[in-house]
Amino acid sequence: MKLKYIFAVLFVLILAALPMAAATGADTVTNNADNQGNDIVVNSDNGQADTEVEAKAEVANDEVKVAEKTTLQARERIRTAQYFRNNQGAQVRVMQLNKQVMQNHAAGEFVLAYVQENYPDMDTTELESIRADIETLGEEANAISLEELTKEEALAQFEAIREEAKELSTQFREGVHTIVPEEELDALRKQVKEKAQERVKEKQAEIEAKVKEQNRERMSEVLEELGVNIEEVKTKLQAGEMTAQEAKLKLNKHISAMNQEKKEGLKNMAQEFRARTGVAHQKMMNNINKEDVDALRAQLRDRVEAFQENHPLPDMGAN
Amino acid sequence: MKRTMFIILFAALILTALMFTACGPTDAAVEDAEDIDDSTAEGAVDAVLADELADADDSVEIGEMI
Repeated sequence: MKLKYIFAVLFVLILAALPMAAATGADTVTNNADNQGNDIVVNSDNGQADTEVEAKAEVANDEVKVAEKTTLQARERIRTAQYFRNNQGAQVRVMQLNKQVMQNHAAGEFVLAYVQENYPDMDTTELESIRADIETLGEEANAISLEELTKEEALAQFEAIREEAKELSTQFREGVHTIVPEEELDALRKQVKEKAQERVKEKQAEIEAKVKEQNRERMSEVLEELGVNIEEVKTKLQAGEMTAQEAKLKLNKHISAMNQEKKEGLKNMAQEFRARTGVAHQKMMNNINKEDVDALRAQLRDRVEAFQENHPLPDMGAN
Repeated sequence: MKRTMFIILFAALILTALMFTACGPTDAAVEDAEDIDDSTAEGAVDAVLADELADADDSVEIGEMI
């Protein structure tokens, strides 16, 4: 009788270990390079070897970080090209850029208020100037003439503003790090992020409404491209009575009910569609050369400087 | 005795379900077009939609201010 209990307990333990084993396996694959470095450090006994191995591990970790960053940047560039396939998508992407710039501008305001309160002797003129420049970039993003420019021209302007915003944010961040000690940064970062996100809530709601409207139209277009004709979905999408997400659920049901031959045909069509659009997006990104973006950034800087000369710095009071 | 065995097995099932939930993939990973298995009709169409539909939570990377 006791044996039965032992078996039952063993059964419980094995079942509980299964998901953990599966998750550990997945982690090992995705973080292979990271783990390699850490393992080497743990297994080494000799002090000198430890230092060498630690240095190697650090280099390996840095390489992994650079590779991850490069992959993320490449994905983001392709994602941007996907948005810029038409005017409506480009509008959404520009709104997203504008929101991010506004969020950084708000974050700058809170950081400056913190610095001025806690380090009153420090000169913050340069930080205030960078923050004002960031605000102007938000206006520049809104001013991209999507109706008048080609996709490539609009995308080049978008990239110029994004690159400039990125550089200004880095300058601001590095400036703050020379004033605020590292041990204070984590808490401040969290506090500032929450407040800055709160500040752009309205903008986020605008983006959500625009995305909802645009996705309805895009869903109809994609269904047509894939040769899927579900009359009810088509009518409701056009009448604004169904969201793209609801249409997606109906579409999944529709596909499940298809026979194997039709499924195979749809799969091939979808894969071809994706390959075709992927090439088009890549081509669009390749047409944006660095020299054009740099030239646009130079013009942008001139405009921002001219704007700052004609407008005094905004009031720095914290909210 | 049968009742005890039943309770143990039932606990095992609940525990397993909880562990799978805790160790399972996140929603974000599932939604990324690159991670979608497009070897089925459903997957291939899902991947197209992940590429083609806008996401209100997509952000433009310009770095942090702090």
